[in-house]
Amino acid sequence: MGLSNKILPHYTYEDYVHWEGRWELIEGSPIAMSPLPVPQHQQSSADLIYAFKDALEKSCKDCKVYSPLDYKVSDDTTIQPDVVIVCGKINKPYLDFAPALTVEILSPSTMLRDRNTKYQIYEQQGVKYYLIVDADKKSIEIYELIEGKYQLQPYKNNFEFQLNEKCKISPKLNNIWK
Amino acid sequence: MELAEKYIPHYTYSEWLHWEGRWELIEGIPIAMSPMPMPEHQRVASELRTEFTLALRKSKCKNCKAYDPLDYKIADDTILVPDVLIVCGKINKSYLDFSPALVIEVLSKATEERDRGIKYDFYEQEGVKYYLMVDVKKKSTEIYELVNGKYQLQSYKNDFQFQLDESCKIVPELYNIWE
Repeated sequence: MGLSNKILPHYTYEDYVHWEGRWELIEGSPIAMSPLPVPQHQQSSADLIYAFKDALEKSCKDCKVYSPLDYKVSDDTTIQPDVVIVCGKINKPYLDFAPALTVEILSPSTMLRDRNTKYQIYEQQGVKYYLIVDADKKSIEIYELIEGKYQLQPYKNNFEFQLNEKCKISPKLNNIWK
Repeated sequence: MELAEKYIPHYTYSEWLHWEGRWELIEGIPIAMSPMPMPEHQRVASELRTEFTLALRKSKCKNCKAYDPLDYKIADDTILVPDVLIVCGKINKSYLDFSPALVIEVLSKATEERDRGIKYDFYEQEGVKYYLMVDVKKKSTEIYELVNGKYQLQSYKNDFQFQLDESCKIVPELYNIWE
């Protein structure tokens, strides 16, 4: 016996807001985020936030770091990137426009989605920078949107992120591996 | 937006255990139970449970008991949470892992398709002797009884007899729930 497609639920943001616990919603399907990511994952997250905040404080008033944040891509897709930088004001309890930069920290259970599903979503939505962090390999891949497609940039510790016209930052990325 | 592949996981019991909130799991797919059902839905479920408890007491059925929603673990990737259950026998775990004698689902717009479809199939397959579907809008109660492994719709009567197991026969006053 198998579930026919019509019995597969197709949830929307209206359903999503009622769910307890940590969930994402991708094209109507619930994706569980529990249990909490491993300590190393959380540490990388915290260190990145610090590096970004430090860089933004010096140069940018318009752009801020958030972690976590509900990014409502469409009515049936709401995701929670590990870290985002948003330029502009967020007036709702969720983000409904493309952030300037998003970060996903890989874990065994999320890797396929981070590299495929979310990669496609961020690219389609026009998120200028997508960082994929591998805490095991101690690597940060920087994808920059060029003419609508992500291109992997060579990693540098003082990589310059041009978040918008006014905001350029060079966060100390190497610090997260200390 | 068109995604080529969503890479949706096939969840199992050990993952379901960690989820907060109320969820069923059907063949590895999470089915949300939040938000809570409408008040009328809850009232009807509650009254049914009461009627069954009273009937069980009246018939002095020692082995069978009526329950509010329980986690009914059918397989490692399927956990259903029926609205009302009658279980004959002891439940030694935090979930039920054998067939109840009777299950009730109170239909709602969000659940009817699954209640009549995949859940009907599961209860039949698992040998749940009686499956009741209650339609709050139509004020109707459908009673399916397992006969030779298949559900047969019985004619609803106020004095319908439920033979739950060898020693337990009850006649609940089901009409009371519509007053």
